[in-house]
Amino acid sequence: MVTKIQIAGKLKFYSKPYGRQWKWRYQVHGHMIEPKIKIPKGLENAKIIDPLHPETIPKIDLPKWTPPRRHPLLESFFPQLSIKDNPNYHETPIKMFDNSTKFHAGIDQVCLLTKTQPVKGIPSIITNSTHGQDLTSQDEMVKNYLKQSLAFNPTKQPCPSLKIPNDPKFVIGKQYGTPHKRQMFILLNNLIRLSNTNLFKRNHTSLLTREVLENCDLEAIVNRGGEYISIKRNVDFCLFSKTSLPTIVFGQDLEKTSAYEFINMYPIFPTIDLKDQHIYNLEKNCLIDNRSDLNGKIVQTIININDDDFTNEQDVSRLIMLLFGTAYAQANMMKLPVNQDGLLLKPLVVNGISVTNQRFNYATFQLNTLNFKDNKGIKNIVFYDDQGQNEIYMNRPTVDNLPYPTQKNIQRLALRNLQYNPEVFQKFLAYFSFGSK
Amino acid sequence: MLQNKISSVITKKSAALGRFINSSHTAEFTLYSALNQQSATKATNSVPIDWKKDVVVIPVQTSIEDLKRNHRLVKDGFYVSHRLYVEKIPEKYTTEPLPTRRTGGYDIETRERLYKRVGGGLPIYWHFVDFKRVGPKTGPPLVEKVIDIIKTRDRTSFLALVAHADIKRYILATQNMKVGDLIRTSGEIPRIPVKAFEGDAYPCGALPNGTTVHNIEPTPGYGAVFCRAAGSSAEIVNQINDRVIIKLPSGLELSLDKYCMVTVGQVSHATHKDEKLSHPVDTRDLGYRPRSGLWQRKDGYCGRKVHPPKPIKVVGTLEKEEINKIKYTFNNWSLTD
Repeated sequence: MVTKIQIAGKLKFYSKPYGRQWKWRYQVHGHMIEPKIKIPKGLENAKIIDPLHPETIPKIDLPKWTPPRRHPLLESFFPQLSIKDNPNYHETPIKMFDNSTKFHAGIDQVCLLTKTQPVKGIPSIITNSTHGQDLTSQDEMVKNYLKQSLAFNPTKQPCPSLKIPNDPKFVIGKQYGTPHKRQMFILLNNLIRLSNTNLFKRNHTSLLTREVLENCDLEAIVNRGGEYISIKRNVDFCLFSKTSLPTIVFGQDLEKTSAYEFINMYPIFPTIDLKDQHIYNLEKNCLIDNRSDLNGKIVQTIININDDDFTNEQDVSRLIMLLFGTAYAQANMMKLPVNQDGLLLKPLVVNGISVTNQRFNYATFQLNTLNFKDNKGIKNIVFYDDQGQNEIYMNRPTVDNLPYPTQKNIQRLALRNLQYNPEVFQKFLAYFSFGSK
Repeated sequence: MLQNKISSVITKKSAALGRFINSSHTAEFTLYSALNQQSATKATNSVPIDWKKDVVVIPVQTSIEDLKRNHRLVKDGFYVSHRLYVEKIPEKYTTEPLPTRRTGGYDIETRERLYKRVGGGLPIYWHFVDFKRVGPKTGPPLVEKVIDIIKTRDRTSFLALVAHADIKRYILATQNMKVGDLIRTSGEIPRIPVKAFEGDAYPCGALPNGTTVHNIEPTPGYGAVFCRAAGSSAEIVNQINDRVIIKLPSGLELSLDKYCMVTVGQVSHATHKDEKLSHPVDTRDLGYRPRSGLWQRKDGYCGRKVHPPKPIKVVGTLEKEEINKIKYTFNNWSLTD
């Protein structure tokens, strides 16, 4: 059937029957009239070639086009393809780490899975990476960005439905506004730009070697003691550079990690909280970004935004597992040299920041070994920030706090009561500028 | 300890090592993950990793056929009760809570109204509880750890999320169960009766007389049927040859096969019977539809109900009865006096 849009401007309605109108249309406009080329003076003897002419374009063997089975509109009337039709389907599942996995034993469970030793606190290299050169109007800028993200954002989306566990019968109608994940996305875009200006003050060329990409696919399959563990996540912000981060622990301190003892989780395996995954490819086991070629690029920091009800420890344990996945994938893609015992000659360091609701969690992971057969020998090391209140603001404006719950009241009243915490951005700036010249 | 030592080292060697890494960027094509690949191929022959040693693994024994046996089935789902039904049967045992739908007092297939005062209520998620505690017949028992204890709307008692190896399942929580407790189950009957702890499961022939139990199987391997409500418990009374006699909370006594599994202790949430509804809305939240509110004269159309007579109500204080004095006499003629 011919739609009205296709006919627009080509046929005259109520003049002739359609069959004769098409005939008339073909007679008048059906033949293409080739435009005559006007040759400028002086170039009359020259040979003119059209670069876009099909004869001049070199022929490429395109993949053979297979027609679809049926019209896409009819697709809903037929049963969908099952999982078993996937070529990468296997009956024996492997364990998968997803963004929604909660580790019930917390950080100690993740450290057993990834063979790492946890250390509390931020290392002093990272805190001193700013060299005390903070921006002058730093806090005022961040407060303005908070206002922009929370209230003064013109784009509005349907908010997710409210769920109150104590009173599930309480129903709130659909509201339009900026969902919290988008609020943090706007804020982090601004914070990255603001921290780039601090780098630009010190060294103009430092920005040329650094690049921030959004929505990077991460996948890594690790063999831990005979069991495959796959780590999957769509990373929100990924900072690449040409150089890797400097190592934090080495020498005698690194050898002391062999004395560390993991928790005894008898009779539970630490892989209990992971899910089963049937679709995987063990040959392509490491991937960081599917879009671009990462020739000579190395991951330095990872920033994730979450909107969950995770506790602080669950959130940190999720971050550690994800940092381990990026470091393992990066080490395999760079093909770093390995000792006989599986030790990396040059350890690899990756930073990570996870943003859940308004809380910022920081961690640094140092990959030392690729030997995950046993729990013996030297372990990896992770530093995670356990001190301080890592919430960028308190008194979040909600519907319940306000006298008249409208969008205008959120702008006027609730933003006055925000308690801004300046320590969070100082740490963010330190983590972001760590590794730059 | 380690943090302080590391922070002292960091400041000295950071600059030197940073230069080292930047200069030697060219990668060498060594066997970067050869160690991992070797362990992958020789996974079966290699020694198991530390956390797999000395762990007895028994998968969950309840199947979907057991679920179909105990519930009335609809097209793709099953009835939980006359108030609730689940739309889709899961493919296998899961710990994920399943959403339910309300019948509203109607039959789903025939749309016939069966119950008058059914309707409404808060959302309920159905949890797949495993009532089959199966342990090894010989050797060391199966040990499990309690990860979580939850309260649900589909059941009066609390549920305990129990795990061993890579397997999770829900069981009924006992009264004094806590997170982190270890629970064991075994299927063997030793010569001397075992010393039972709360939450452990044994065949009823292995336990001494007088122990309180719940989750009682009628026949071995069927799954528990008796004593599953909140706060209920039974008692092992006697053992005669291959039969064990158990006294239920109703007072009924059962004689069971000695290999029927029971769990030791009382079912959790014993204060459920003392809880009161504070507001008339609470009945609506439970799924009871309100009455019509119309006043109706009792006309004896449905017959007169015969109630038992009420006990005598005592008014005032009772006088003490005189004690019958016994008169000792020599002959019977004196009683007439």
